[in-house]
Amino acid sequence: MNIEYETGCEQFSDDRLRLATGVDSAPRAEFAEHLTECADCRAELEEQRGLLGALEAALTPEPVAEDVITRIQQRAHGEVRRQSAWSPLLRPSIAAAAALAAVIAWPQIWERPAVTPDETFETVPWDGDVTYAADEVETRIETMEGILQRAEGSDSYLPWSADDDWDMPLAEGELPDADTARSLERRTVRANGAVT
Amino acid sequence: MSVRTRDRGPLGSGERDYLDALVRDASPRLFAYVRRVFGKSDEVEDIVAETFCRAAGNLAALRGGDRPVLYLLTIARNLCRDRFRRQKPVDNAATDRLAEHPARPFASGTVPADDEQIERLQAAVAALPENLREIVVLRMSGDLKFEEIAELLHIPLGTALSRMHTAMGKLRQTMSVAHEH
Ligand SMILES: [Zn+2]
Repeated sequence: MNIEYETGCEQFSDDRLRLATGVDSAPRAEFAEHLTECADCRAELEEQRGLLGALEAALTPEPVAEDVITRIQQRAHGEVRRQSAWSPLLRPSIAAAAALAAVIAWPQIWERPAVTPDETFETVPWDGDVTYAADEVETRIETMEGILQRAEGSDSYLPWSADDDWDMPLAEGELPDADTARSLERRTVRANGAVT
Repeated sequence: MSVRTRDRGPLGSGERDYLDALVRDASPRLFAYVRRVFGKSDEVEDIVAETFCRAAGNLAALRGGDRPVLYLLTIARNLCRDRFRRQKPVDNAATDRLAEHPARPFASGTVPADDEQIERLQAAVAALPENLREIVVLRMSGDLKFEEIAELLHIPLGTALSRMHTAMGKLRQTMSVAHEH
């Protein structure tokens, strides 16, 4: 491959690699015969084996800590879901979004898995004495439609994009993921803050 | 193979024991693969855990196959590819130049596989283009055969070996240069 081989060595490039990597357990007869008389090919074979041995030593997986193993096992059991989406930095904003959602009495839609969007509009407290600007009504409708996306073929709500690959339905009482929570926070503040 | 799973029921105790043992056995290889190929150390645990969550939804397929690690690595790889954008294509120029500068830093007995060499080799692997690095890591950290690597990557065996050959050439060049200085 990278040596000035005598005539014929280059044709054994694949043979050398297949033998060094263990893909071939023994050299083909023609290559075996060549090896006995070619020091360059023997040296190249040794070099490749040396590199592969060093690579194996360098890339052997490290042990995984016991607490990590336990966390993964629990999550795989379904006991902990989407845990990693809750980075400590995001928790305050998620909590704030959840609180805001509670204040405006929308969480009831999490608890009613069988309603259609049309039915849900009837459950939203629409304060009779308050007049909403038209665009704020639109905002409420858009937000609610966003919340009410469902998983395809599922009765569970997906408060994040249905295009998201991480579309595990929420367990009862489980909060939406961080992006949705932030989006909810922005939009509910706007809907609440601009009442005319 | 399909790795998309959802709406599974609760695990039976036998399934749970199998899954626990699999997590213990395969996690080191999955961690090594995700960390070394994609270099996203802060997301490795999440990806590995999600890999097992998806596998848990299809334990029958996992238990029926003869290489559960290959199945798990396939899931992990798909998760990583969904999350992280692929890197730029390979720069073949360095490989071409290699042919003019033979180097044998690993010939038996010439360089001991000491800690320093191991660290330099890890750095050299990390510097490989992703499609070469992945082959090396799947072989060495994933403990897959080249036939299995080819299956996982949907490439012919000859292509997998060719990439390994190119990767080894680059590593020899890097290590040879580092050894001289
Ligand atoms: Zn030869």
